Amino acid sequence: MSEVSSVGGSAARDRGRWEQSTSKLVKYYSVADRIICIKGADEPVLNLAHAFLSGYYFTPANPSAAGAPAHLIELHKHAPPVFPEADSRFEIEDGHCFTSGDDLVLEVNDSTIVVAPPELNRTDIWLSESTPGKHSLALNNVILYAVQAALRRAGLYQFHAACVLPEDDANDRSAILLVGDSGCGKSTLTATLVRTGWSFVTDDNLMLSDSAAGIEAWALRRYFTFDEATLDACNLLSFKESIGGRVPGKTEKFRFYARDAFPGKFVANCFPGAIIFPTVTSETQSRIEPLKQGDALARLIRQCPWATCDAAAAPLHLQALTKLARQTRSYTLFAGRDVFADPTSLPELISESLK
Amino acid sequence: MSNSGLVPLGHIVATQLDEGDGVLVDLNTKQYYQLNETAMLIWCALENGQPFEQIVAEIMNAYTVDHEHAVASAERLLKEFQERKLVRPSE
Repeated sequence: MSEVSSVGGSAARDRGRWEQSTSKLVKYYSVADRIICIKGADEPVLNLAHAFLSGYYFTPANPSAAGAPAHLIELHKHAPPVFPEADSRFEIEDGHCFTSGDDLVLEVNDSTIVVAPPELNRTDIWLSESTPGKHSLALNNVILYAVQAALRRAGLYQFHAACVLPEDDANDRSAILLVGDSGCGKSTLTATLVRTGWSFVTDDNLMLSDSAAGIEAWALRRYFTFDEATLDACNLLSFKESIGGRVPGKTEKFRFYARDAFPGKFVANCFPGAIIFPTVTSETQSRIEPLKQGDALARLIRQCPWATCDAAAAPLHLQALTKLARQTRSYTLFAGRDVFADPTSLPELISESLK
Repeated sequence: MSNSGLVPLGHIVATQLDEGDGVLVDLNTKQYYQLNETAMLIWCALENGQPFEQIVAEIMNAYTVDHEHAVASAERLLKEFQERKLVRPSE
């Protein structure tokens, strides 16, 4: 293990507000009308982060025109400080999380991520020097956790949902979120709807922001991910040029570049008007049933573990989810054998039910 | 009881919906609780530091129930908030 460079929480490290920089080790990105800044310990580290972010709607921004960043992520290569662990430790995928003073500390894949109190607007990553920790999948996972935390601090809440807009009514408030765990049928439903001409923001991953005009959904990832069975069932295999490589870490899935396959159908951001929670059933006939706001909010919270686990961001995160529940009409879709036998029946079922 | 004697704990976040129901989230345990309208009415009253009899009066007004009924509802819900460690005695 590397020698510890310092001990203690925020007081032991030189941290403060970020000053604008044109250094080669700093990159600025525009994300959903905010600026996120990444600083690397060296160019290879910065390039690693940049390569990861190229799969997301993190658009490189000119530092002089960028304005003050909403958040800084700084990557370090030396050993992390020791953070005394508080009582509130909990397990996360590939690691664990705890608070240390005012910091939120994540130890993931042998690397350490420290999310500073909101007023400091920064997240620090100490990258692991261990062999498994330096694997590209591990490093991408670490960067993803840090980016999620940075986005939350910047008022952008990552949300595991698809977002589509009806073909004949692709205005802002007609957008529908499809929300549910993996395996609920989200991907198949999204692919089916897009294939029949609906517009889309995403198949799986978006950000929510709270503005005066309401809760806005923003595209986050630049590609869809489908397994071969879904590509086949939804007649997408013919779009050979739009099918990319396998998704690292989820090799049963392929990247699908829907913007290339369906030009003019991508919507970067919108204000959702409805939420559908799909579930696959063995029933003959599909049905859509309305949900009360309280039940919808409970399901939304269940989909967003960080809304309860990141205490500093929780009040605003929960407020955003509540506003979303109030802004939308919510439904459960019990998807039966009929829509899988005839996927073209799905758009009409949804449109009729949501009238 | 002249006052409820209870206040919400600082790590509990409450959100209210259009129909008067809502959700409480305990940031320490990561648990969340769906509250119906009555429970949410009482929670908001605790947040505002309202005395017990005022809570009872609000229940009676909102749901057209008699005093005995309203007292029983309020006491039951306050006890439940205590059992779930969502409130503490006021100083």
